[in-house]
Amino acid sequence: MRGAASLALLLVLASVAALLHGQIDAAPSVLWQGLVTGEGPGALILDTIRGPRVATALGAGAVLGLSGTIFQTLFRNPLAAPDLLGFNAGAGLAIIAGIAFGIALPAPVLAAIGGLAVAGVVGALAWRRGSGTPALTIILVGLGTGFTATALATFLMTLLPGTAAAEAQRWLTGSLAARNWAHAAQVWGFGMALTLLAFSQARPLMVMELGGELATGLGVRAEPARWRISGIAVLLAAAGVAVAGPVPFVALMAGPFGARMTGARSPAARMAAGAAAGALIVVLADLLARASVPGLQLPVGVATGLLGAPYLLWRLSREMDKGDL
Amino acid sequence: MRQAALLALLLGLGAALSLTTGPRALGLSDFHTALTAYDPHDPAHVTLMAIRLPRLVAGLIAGAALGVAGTVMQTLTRNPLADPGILGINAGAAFALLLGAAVFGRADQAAIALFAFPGAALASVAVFALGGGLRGDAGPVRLTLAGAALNALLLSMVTAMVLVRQESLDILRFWVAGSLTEAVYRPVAQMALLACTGAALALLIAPLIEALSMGADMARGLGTRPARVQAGGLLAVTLTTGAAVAIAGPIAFLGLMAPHLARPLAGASLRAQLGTSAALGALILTLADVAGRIILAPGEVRAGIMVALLGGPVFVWIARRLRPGAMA
Amino acid sequence: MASSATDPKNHSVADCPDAMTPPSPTRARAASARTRRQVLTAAGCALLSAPSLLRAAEALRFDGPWGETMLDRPARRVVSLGYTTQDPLLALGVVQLAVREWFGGRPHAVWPWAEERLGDAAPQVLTGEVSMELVAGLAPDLIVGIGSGISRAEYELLSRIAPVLMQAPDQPAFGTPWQDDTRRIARATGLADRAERLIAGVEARFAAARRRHPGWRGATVVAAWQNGGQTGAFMPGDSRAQFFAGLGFTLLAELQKLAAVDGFYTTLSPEDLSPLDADLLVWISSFSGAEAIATLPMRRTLQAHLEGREVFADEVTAAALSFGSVLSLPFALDRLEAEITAALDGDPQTVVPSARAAGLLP
Repeated sequence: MRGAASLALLLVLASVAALLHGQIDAAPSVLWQGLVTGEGPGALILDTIRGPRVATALGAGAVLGLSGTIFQTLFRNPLAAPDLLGFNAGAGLAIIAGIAFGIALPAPVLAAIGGLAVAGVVGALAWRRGSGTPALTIILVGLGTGFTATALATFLMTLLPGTAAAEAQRWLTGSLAARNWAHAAQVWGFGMALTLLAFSQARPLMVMELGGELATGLGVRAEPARWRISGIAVLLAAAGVAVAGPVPFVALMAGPFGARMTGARSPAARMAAGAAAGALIVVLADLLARASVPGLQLPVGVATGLLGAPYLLWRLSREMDKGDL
Repeated sequence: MRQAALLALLLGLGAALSLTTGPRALGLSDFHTALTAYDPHDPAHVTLMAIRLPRLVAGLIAGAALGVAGTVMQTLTRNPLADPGILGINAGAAFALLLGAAVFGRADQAAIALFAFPGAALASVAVFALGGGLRGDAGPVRLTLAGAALNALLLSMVTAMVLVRQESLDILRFWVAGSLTEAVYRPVAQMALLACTGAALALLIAPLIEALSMGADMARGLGTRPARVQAGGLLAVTLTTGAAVAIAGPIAFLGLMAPHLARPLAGASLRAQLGTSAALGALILTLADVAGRIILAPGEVRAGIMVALLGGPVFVWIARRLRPGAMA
Repeated sequence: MASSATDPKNHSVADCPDAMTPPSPTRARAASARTRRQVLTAAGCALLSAPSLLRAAEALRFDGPWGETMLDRPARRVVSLGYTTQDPLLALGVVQLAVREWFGGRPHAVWPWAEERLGDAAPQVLTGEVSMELVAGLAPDLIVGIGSGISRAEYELLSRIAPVLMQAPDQPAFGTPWQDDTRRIARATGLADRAERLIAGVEARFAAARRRHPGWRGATVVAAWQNGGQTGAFMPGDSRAQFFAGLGFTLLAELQKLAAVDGFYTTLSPEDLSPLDADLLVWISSFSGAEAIATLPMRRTLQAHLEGREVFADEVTAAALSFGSVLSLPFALDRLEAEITAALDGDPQTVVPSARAAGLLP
């Protein structure tokens, strides 16, 4: 319980810090005045410049974190995150294809289609009759499918003229530049609905985590539940990708980080902790990306890449020491 | 023997395709006169001798080098998914290249090769070490993920550098987009020498690597020192991949595919596998380069992209065939 | 000189409050942002330009690709987000608060042709993504987004900090004519008269060059580039091609037949560079690509090469051509006139100095 409180406190502190700091620091009093009166530079920061950006970062981080936690629980493997399973690459490919072929669908819809398509392909290719699907097979098949999606996206980008390709490249890095309240509302709206759906699956998820055979014994039909829960998790990731691009490693880091901080055990508690941790990671990474070098604002994806890659390497060495890999 | 003849025939065919495919139509007589009476002002002769031939040679060398590197890596790590491209060498080369250009202010083709080589080499060693390859217990998942992590880390840094310096993007495009078309400017001869040294080393220590792949204890029993063999194998991988990346730009999955196709043809001997894999690597890259010239003609798709489009599905196919027990 | 009311030097920006307190009563904004609560408050600076308020109110409306931008009075505190708009601003005598880095890493992103006009000012250099907070912190009363490539989302956000001046709706994001850029920026800063004099001055210099070199009239030219392992040429609409059109040259017909990418350039296969074989072949390499050009095998088959009609625009000259601004064009003309003369004197033996320095001689 104390862990959960401190994670919540950290999240609030990080959000406030993200509102106060950046290329230019604002005094808390300025922000407060802006909040109360709705006027002055404080209001400009809250209403226009940093407010929607932080809100979008929170929402995108939360859905990505939640998605990662669900996959990690479902496949009982801390490496089973949507970014490693290729779903983010699929969402990215769909958006690039949208630009290249002039498909007039909104980005979130495209991202969801791409993510779901890759999830379907990975599920179908990794599926094995009888024995259930080993997590490691899924991870490897997911990695390979992600490689293929990335190769296709690179190929499509050669078809684009220079300026469109540069824009696409920027998008693929993961960025929170110029986000407004519509972006925030979008990720929060979709996120809330999907989160409700996700939590409604907490019991099947808990049973699934015990193993396929046990699940059947407890009256949960393993395969349909697995597909259903995976579908929700993919949509969660797509909701995040749609507003912030395929920000790398957030989904991978959030689950274990949240569980460790809060000591949460049940899937529902871990999901909540993972969402909070994802939000925390993205808000802090964005703060790092825009405040660390004067005059230079980097995309948030660069910061999560710099943070996440060492984490993955560390995780790998730990998994090996434990003999899990 | 029949297989070797078949491979040689296929390679010859691929080379002929490579020399005859392109926007400029060339007749048989052009080939004849270009060889016997070269005229540096005749566009047909220049196309043949100064554009298509260097490109073919670079493709053959880089492809063969990656075929060797992949075979050594897969045998040494006992990991069927090992491939220098997946394991972060492209990102390593790109990063080193931008760093070198920023520090030394040079971005000509010779400098590009000069900087890309150590970048690629260091990255392949780093990921091998990080993935536990030296301890001989690197599972496919672990090694691949270590590569993915290193890739992401380096690419984040590359993205940052490109955003800070617009010139970096141009340098990167020089190296990435040019691929084999730029081979003519690169120090192909020097890099070929490095690649050959690496390949020779691999052939030399092939029996020792075979002994090691049976297990470290077995190897010691046979009088082999595991650490030395590993160091030798790693050096061979480094030389071949570094050279390949420096002349051909970023190419992934070739080192993954070639050994898998080579094994059924070559049988159990590692030396035979190395030779076959080198030939197949050269063949695949050459054909990919030809396909890239046809698919969007008159535009071109670089060979690296064509190989990756093929390699992603192959990766999935191999991953599916792995028995669960063999994965960890 | 323009009237004192429109001279920026008479409105000291140092008098304005600093940091996140916007000094102006600028309710100006893009029409699309009208419904949003305005947070910019009135401050002392407003008084300074009060007389011009009424006079300019009618004139200062600008159509843009995403709606109308309106200024209540000529702008004084300007952030330049366009990759090249520092030039027209400096030419007009408006020292911008912030400037966008394109390439080159020059101090304050200002190149030799504009250095003098920058003086001791030290504008903030913006790199990477456009940092909204940095822009807001400078409290501008105008953001120049012409040639900046900002997205619609960025435009809308920036519009709530200050009016954003974009190119006309019918123009592309990059490569608007330099006269249009200069005039538009001048109108927004209340310096229209000065702009006309500047433009007339530059055009007169080109006219004088045409008179000095009647032989250039009707001669064919190609402005070629070699970058990222790719050879290509600039198409008629591009500023670099326009530079030579301004000197009387005609773009090679073979090149004009090819399809333009992004509206301003075309790419060529290394196996066929014949669309480059004009009377005058100018290599424009904004990055140090001399070696890549020198070793391009097919170049050696071009008549322009064999007869010494190649000119190499070095880094600074190439940048001046690429900027294509009211300041950089005369600069490029100064650096290239003798080169072109040497290339086109009809004698293959005459050495073009820039081609020799780049190692391009036959």
